[in-house]
Amino acid sequence: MSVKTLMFVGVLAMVSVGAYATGENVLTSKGYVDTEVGKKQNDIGRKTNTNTVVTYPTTAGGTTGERTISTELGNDTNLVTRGAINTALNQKQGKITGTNGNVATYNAGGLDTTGKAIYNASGTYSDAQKAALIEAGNVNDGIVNGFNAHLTCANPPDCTLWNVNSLTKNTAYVPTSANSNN
Amino acid sequence: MRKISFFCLFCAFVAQFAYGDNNNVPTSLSYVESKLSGKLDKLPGLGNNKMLMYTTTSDTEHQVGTPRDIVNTLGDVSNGDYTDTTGSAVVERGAIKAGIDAKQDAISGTTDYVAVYTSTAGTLDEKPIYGTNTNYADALVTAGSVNDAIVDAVNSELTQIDASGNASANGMLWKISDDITVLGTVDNNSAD
Repeated sequence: MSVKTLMFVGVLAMVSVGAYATGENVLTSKGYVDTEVGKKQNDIGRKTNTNTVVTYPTTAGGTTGERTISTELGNDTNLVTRGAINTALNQKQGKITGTNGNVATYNAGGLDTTGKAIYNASGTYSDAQKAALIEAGNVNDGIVNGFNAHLTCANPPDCTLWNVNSLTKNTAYVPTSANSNN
Repeated sequence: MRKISFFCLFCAFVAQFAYGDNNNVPTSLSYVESKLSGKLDKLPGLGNNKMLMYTTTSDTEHQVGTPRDIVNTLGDVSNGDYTDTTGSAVVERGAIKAGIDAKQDAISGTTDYVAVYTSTAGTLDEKPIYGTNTNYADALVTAGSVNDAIVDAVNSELTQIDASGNASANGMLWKISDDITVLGTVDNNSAD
């Protein structure tokens, strides 16, 4: 067979294949297949832990990496679930709120939102005020006022005689009372 | 003629193999399939709120596992909703920050001061405790300082004297000094 015959047959084959005009019936080469397949990612494999995330390989087309999703917080590089974060946050203190100016106090559940009042010198000496904490200045005033109410000058201005007044509890030692003797 | 054509094609293939150039070597369907068998299947279109997970099922290594949700909230943290403690979704940074922001910042204050509430959630003020080396009229006071103040007040107001009016531990008389206006060792800031 001549070279001309061989070329003629080859051309006929190419023409017949080209007539389909779709890739599905176009022959391709092993080299092309190898090149194109080589661009694709190999199977990433299988893990036994259902919480394993796929991460990128360090080199193109290389073995993929992995990261574990944990259900509790820890000192590592794992990712964590929403449940783990909420569990941890539930153990933390919410923003502290309470009555403005009151001292923070505890109750059975943590911090009491009312707290403990501080004696208000401008207020009445109510039962609520009795339970309040007190400032040093008001203690001082209370003692001064108590003495001044308990002991009063009987012959001013000399004050050589004094009356000793009987006091009713909680009435004379009001820190807000004015010191009338001075 | 037909036999000759097939023969020619065969000869052409043989000649191409002889060159050793794979680009000119036709390949078979089975070869292509064998090469593709080790490759990953196309990923499903699930959007960017799903994480790519490994499969745990045997013989599905060319597939990925069940996707994992990525969520943008821990719950309604503005209402203290941290009730989802078993959810397996992974959370966005913004959601975690929102959750943490709803919690109390680290508390700091002056040593030995008392913490008092403010009108702003998460913010505390402080109040000093009266000490004998300080003059805080508005400080809270300890039991010991109250005791000292009372003792000082009594000692300042009542003075034991003799018949001549001089201070004497053996005196039979007591002088009342109407000068209890400032309890010197307790609170020099007391206005009176």
